[in-house]
Amino acid sequence: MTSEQNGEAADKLLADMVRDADEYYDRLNLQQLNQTRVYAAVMGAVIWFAVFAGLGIALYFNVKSSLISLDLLWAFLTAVASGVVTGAIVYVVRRQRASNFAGLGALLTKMKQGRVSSEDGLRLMDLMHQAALTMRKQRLDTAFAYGVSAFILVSFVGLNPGFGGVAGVVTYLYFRFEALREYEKEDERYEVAKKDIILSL
Amino acid sequence: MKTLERPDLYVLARFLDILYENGQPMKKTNLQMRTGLNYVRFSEYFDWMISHGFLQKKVEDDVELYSLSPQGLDSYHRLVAWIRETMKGMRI
Repeated sequence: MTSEQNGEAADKLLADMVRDADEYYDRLNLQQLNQTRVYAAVMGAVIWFAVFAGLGIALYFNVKSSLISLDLLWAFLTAVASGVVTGAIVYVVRRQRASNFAGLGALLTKMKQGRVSSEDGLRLMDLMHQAALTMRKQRLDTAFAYGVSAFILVSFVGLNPGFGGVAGVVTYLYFRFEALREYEKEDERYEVAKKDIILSL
Repeated sequence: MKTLERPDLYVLARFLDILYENGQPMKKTNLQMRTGLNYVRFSEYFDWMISHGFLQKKVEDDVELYSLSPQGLDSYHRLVAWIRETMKGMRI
């Protein structure tokens, strides 16, 4: 291949890079939105269930059977309200993390307008890597949600909050460990790749 | 002068970009201005690139001009290909 052909190939690679990064950015935003929706819905449902079950048990032992239906309705509505508020808060907090990707979007816009350099390509690659790590970090929240779910489930099924607590902590620690391990592995792999390319140049 | 042990990839890419885009041999001073580095930092990277055979010198009317050597050009292409490959391998 002549140096001119090599140059064309490099220019094409840089242009392809921008196109791929643009697709990646769209996928990233979509995935963040979907994950946030699911997580907010799960957290809302967990809180709804916990509040309703707690209030239901309290009513069962403290209210006369003739009055319990109206109180149960109030307990249900209170639980629904708690679930909705929790879901909304979780949604807003997690969506704010999407602003971490703003730098990537801005760089992509700039690169689409002008000539692309390999330095821009490196910057783009770093931002994509950071965005991917942010997405991985969100799995720590998911680990917490799994822990809470395990606590509630085991507490109610086993009628023992102690067992529930142990199950919740174990579940949380396991998923947290897995999320952190994957996060660190990914980061290390990336840093090693950067060192290798310097050595190989 | 201090020698570079581990150069910054961004700065290397900037050198390669400038020399590649310029196409023609250029003065050391022009290169320094376009990299935006101070003289000490620039010299470290410049010497590193010379020692790795990335640059070739040409003298015209007693003026030293520098451009990418075939090895420097090859490194530029390899860097671009590496960025592209690394990006392709990135998962969300």
